[in-house]
Amino acid sequence: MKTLVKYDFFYFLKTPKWIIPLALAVFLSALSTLTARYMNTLLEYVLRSEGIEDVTLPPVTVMEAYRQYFSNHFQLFLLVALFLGVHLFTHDFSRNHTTYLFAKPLRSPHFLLSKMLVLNLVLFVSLIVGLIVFAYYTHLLFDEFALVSFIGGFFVFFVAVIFYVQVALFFSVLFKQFLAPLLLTLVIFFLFSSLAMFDSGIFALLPSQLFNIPVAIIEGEAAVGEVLAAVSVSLAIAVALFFASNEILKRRPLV
Amino acid sequence: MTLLKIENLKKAFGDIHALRGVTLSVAKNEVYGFIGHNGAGKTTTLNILMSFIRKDAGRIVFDDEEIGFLDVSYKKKIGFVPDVPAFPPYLTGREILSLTADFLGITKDKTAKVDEALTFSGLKGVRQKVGNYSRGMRQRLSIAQALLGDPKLLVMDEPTSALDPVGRREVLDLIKRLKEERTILYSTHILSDAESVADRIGLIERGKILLESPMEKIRKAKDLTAYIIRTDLPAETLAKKLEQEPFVKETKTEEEGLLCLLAGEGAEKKLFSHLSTLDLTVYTFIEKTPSLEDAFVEVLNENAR
Repeated sequence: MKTLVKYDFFYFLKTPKWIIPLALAVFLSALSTLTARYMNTLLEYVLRSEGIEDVTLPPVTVMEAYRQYFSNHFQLFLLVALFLGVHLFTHDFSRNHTTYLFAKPLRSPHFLLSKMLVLNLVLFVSLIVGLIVFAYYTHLLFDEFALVSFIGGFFVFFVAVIFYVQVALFFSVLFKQFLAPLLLTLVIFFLFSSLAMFDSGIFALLPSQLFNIPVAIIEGEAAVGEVLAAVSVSLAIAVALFFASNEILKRRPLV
Repeated sequence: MTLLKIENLKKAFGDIHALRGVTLSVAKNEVYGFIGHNGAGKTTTLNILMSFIRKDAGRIVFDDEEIGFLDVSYKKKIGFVPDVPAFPPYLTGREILSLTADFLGITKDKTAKVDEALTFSGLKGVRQKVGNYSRGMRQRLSIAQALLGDPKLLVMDEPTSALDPVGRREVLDLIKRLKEERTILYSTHILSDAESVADRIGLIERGKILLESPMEKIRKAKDLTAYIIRTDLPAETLAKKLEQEPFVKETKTEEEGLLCLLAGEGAEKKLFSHLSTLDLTVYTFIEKTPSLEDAFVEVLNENAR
């Protein structure tokens, strides 16, 4: 298992791929604060230059920075993470590295677990660096940063990352090539993001709620029970998908 | 002493029966040439041996233990060389071997063993990444990684089939150097490759072993003397006249004339003098070395008799 983790880390460290999530997390974090702080100023400037003087935009608050952060990360960071994830999960199959790997004494759950661990760790470290940038700029521009509640929202966002990465792993093991798992994971992603507007009944338990919860936590509007339910259901589905992926890997030809 | 025993192995892919009860055994310290046309069932057999795919029936006993599909421990004792080896292109040969050593749990003298494998495969001074390797270099690296754990059995699946003549010669030279000290299951459809390395041969056709024979026997069959004879008589008539003679083993009508396989000492002289007694005109009388295919057919016929 240790060697598999090393093998999968090489995928990022011996290529420039590790830079992608890191650069994106830093860029989106800085962009979120700057957009929140200066978007209204820019809009006012544009409107005035068009001769529209009587428009009053609402005052900017730090909440807008938090909303921007999670919106950008759900819409861009997570999608890029899925591209990276599907490539990491499928390249050993599509490039036929499996004859090298599975001729060695290694077990299929370790093969899958290692990829999940490495990808999630790379994404987590990138997000943490981005979070530090975000906290710094937010404090600099708004003179405040709600550290505890933001970290609460951040962890719920990371549960969403784990969930969609696991969906990508499942489809990758099923199809063993790049395009089909990527498209199907994106279908699931967009399906759940469109279901996010429904927040009652069974919908309150679905992974779709992970899109709403981070901001709700920071706004102080999230009920602990609902947060725990949505997080638990998402993680439970992710674990079930992991075992299903392992069963598929064991039952189907490796080469 | 038998190291690997495959018994009645069966595998079907839908309606296609890839293996129809393959049975073979590989003795310790022998090179077993596993020969067959493309699609005969060689790779399927090896893929089942390596647990890349499941078998439908049969059993595999390696080093006195039966192998199950989910077993992994036996893989420490088998080095596998595929037909077209693929490694992560962003790693160097040394990094691949170092990872391989870690996969196999080699901790003692790891660097020395990696160095030794690199030297053996002629890749010691190569610093470029595997993505820039030629096919021959990749195949030599594949052999090096397969040898790293000092395996009891080396399984090679058509290691020269995708190589150019230079790469093929390099890889065959490596295998010849291994021949003295290793047990090798060597699959190929190139008969001359098998002839140059194998001690014993198993011929697989349509998922069944047709023949298992020591290479020596095949070589003897190959050493048969054969002549192509063309006369003013039709080949069939000539064949009837010659087949009655004890020094003629077999005749076969071919495009160039009648192929006449001889047996026994002085058979050539006897054939020549016999022809001179017949009322015919000889147009062609050419000595022909039987191909390995002819030798196989001969051994198969001999076994059938």
